[in-house]
Amino acid sequence: MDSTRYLPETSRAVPIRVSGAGGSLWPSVEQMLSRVTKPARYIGGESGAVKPLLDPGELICWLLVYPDVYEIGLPNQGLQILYEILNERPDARAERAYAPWVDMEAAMRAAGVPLFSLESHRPAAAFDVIAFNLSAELTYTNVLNCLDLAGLRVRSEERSASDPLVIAGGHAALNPEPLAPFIDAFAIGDGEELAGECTDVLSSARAGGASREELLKELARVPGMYVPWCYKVSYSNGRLAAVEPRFDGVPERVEKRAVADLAAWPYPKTQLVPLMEVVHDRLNVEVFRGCTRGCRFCQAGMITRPVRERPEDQVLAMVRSGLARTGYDEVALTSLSSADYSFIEPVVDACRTAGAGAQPVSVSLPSLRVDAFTVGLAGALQGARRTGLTFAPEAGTWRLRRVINKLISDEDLYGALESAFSGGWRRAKCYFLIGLPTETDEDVESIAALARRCVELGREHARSVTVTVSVGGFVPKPHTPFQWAAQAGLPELHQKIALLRDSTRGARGVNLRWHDPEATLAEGIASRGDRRAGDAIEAVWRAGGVFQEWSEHFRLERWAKGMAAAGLDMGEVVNRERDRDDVLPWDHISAGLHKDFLWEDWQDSLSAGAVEDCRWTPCYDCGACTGLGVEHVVASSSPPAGGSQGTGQALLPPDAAPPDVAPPEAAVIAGSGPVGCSPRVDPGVPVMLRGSSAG
Amino acid sequence: MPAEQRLRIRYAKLGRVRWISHRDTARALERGMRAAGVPMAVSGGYSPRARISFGLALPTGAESVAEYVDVLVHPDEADGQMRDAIEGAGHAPGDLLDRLAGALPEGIVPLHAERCPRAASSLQEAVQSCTWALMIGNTTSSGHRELADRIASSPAIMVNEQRHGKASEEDVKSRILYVDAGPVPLEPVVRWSGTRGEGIPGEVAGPACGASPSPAAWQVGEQVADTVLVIEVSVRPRGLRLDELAAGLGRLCGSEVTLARARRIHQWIDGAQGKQELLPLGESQGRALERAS
Ligand code: SF4
Repeated sequence: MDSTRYLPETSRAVPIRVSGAGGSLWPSVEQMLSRVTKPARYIGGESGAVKPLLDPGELICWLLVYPDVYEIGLPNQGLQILYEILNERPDARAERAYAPWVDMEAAMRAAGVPLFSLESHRPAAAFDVIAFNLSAELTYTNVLNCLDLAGLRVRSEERSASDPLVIAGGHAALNPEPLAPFIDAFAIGDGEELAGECTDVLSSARAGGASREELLKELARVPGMYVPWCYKVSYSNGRLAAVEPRFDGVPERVEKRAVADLAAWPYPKTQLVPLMEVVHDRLNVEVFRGCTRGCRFCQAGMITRPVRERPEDQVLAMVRSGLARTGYDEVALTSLSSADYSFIEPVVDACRTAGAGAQPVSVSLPSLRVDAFTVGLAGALQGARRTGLTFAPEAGTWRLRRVINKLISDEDLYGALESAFSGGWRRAKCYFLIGLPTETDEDVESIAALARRCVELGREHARSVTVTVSVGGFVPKPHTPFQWAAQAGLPELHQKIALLRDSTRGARGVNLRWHDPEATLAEGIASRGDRRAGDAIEAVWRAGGVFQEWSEHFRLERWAKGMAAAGLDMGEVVNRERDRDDVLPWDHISAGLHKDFLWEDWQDSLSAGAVEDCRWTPCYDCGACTGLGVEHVVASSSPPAGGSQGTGQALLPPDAAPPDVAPPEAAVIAGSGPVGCSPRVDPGVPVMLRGSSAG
Repeated sequence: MPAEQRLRIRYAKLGRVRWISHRDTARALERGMRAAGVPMAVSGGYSPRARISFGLALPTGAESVAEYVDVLVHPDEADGQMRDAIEGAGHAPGDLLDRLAGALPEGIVPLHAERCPRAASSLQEAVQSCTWALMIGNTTSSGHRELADRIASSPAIMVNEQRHGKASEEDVKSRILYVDAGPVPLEPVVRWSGTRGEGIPGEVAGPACGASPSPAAWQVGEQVADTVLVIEVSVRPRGLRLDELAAGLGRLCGSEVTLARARRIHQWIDGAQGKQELLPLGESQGRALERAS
């Protein structure tokens, strides 16, 4: 028999101090956990997380919130970077929270438990700042729900000085207006420096006993901070007329912030390692920020210019220390278009042997260009594990790809799939957009034809291959050349999907998936709406609309009612093509791009005129570099294999036939989630919005 | 020494981390071994995997001080210190356990490691029964004593079963091998090992192990008990799941029985000396535990 029936006593666990408002809610939280799905979402305890701290004293306490469920939010790099930067400051403290899933929310509301942080399990309202990461517009109703769960009023004007300051940042914040009624201040652009500057403002406001209004005015003076309360909005004839400062010292236009040198910000240094499975569950190392490929639909690319690369040795140091600390056997080199990284091949090579001992490491490049790849890279990516491959040709024909400036030829795609299948892969996924400007039925049908051809290619190597075609409705985004475009209406999108279903019917190996067009419509409201769209968003939330990215929770009806209640017309906000002299809701926010440049590019697109990547070709004077005083930081003075846009050929005149030159060398991308290039929801996540049919 | 060795590791799962699933625990262990420099052998093929195998699943929400994992290792590929630790496993596993403890999440505590013959039966095959310490919801210490007597003296414990889509009833009394009420198992301390923020005033080590007010009592919400149910259940031919057991006890008592807290404290095999714990904890492992925690 075992002599030690029970473990020997060592010493006692220090009991948690449960005090009033600021104490840990853990005992109450734990009581709910046996009744909810995936309780690990609510426990914290990840490697890389800070220790619980129940009495933060004078520290400025930030609660960083990702307004979606834990397994989607945890990997968010922006949030993790700010988390570390704030926690490195002696005067600040950051903890995290994610939107509780509906079952947990119900349990929390029933027990009167407010939104809590995962580190100390302290209530959200005990923090000085609640900061939201806005990566996707359909999470906006969750932002309101989180504020409400925190026990706060959702409207900024109804909160007081004793409430936490509510900040939001992230890509979607580049049109802050739809959330302007609820958020006290928006951080525009890179947050690395802003997080510290806001902490400074909060510290001195606290020391000086500033009122809430003084604090807000002070924040509005920080470059890159937008405080909606400091601006007056006027309308004429039902349309937006102006958004103007109400006070002296408040800028007319808020310029986005961009860090000049990524090497100065080697974050995250200690990436969080979740205890449960999450999306992008691997080591993620950002190799560069920004993208100048100039795809016209791509907000991420446009708003993060210029390109700033991380030095090769720093990338490798981050990979080595990250693998050693986390024990991951997979590393993703992240950026919007990682194949464009100057040192991509040597870095991929080095990563494969960067693990501890003889353990194999697989490398993935989550943002995919089928071009600009070489056989060497393809081989190198066949690391420890062969997951699915993902490509993003975005449009079915070369003509339409010129319109959107995604200059990938059919041959590029075939070449990529050919080497993928010959390299042992059996599954590939291709992303397409439908509802693009100038799109015809022929463009849509060509998507099916491309997919069939890809399967045929695969058949030469294996009996059963699958090509999944994932189709999303195009939503014109602010600060892109397509910001003026009409978004396709519901009937049109449904008709295009029907067309695709017809043309893939019976196609063996072709798997069609599509995003719900109704959700695309709602995304259009949140993307290009002005401040009045906030009323609609609030109405959707009040009607119970949370987790709008999840099909089981999405109902267009709520949005239609919300728009009606706000006195807004869906067609006007979503489907109307804007004129050159329209005042756009985000005109007072600058992503560094001249409006004239965007307008010219919009006009060019309509005549299918393409532009080359400005990293290697002369500057188009888009404004991103000059205005921000930041320049492209690119180590290689020559464009990657396959030409500046990766097509393997010089750009052809607009009316030229598709090129039939040999494809550039093989283009294979070991990919998993689309973190970067034209970011979208990872379809690997269950039950996200989509339909599907197998051919 | 043969190139490939089989290592059997006993670990505890305590505190907040009990809310992660068996699958997530497996993934955490695999990452932890890699981060600790345990030279895991890897399968071949298109999707190479570490050759690691896990024992009986622990239900999400339950704690344990007797969990097991087997891993195939190549000591030759490890650094010197790790190689010595592996080759000395069972005698001086301290280095191995220390390194593993530092690489595993808060609350997953390696307690003991031993080399075992490659041919030894797998964890799943070897284990015959396991012992649980259970705190029943809304039940005092004396309530636990009464319940133990009741289970011991009742001729049958009936549970509803769903087998092959058909509902049936089964008497599971014969699968309950031992029942008693006993003092709560003592708490090893699980210290927070967060990587940052050292030295900030006001920190606490915790919340750990449900933060008992005393090591001699378990507290859940308002409920406190220093005596709990200790029950050994057979895992052959089929394990008796905790939720089935709770349902059976509910029928026995005529009211709903919930498990406020559950901790596996033993996994038993038929060994050379008869029934024995897979890897018993001796003096030195007790010290290892102290270091690890
Ligand atoms: S779609 Fe990709 S390549 Fe094109 S601009 Fe966006 S990030 Fe760059």
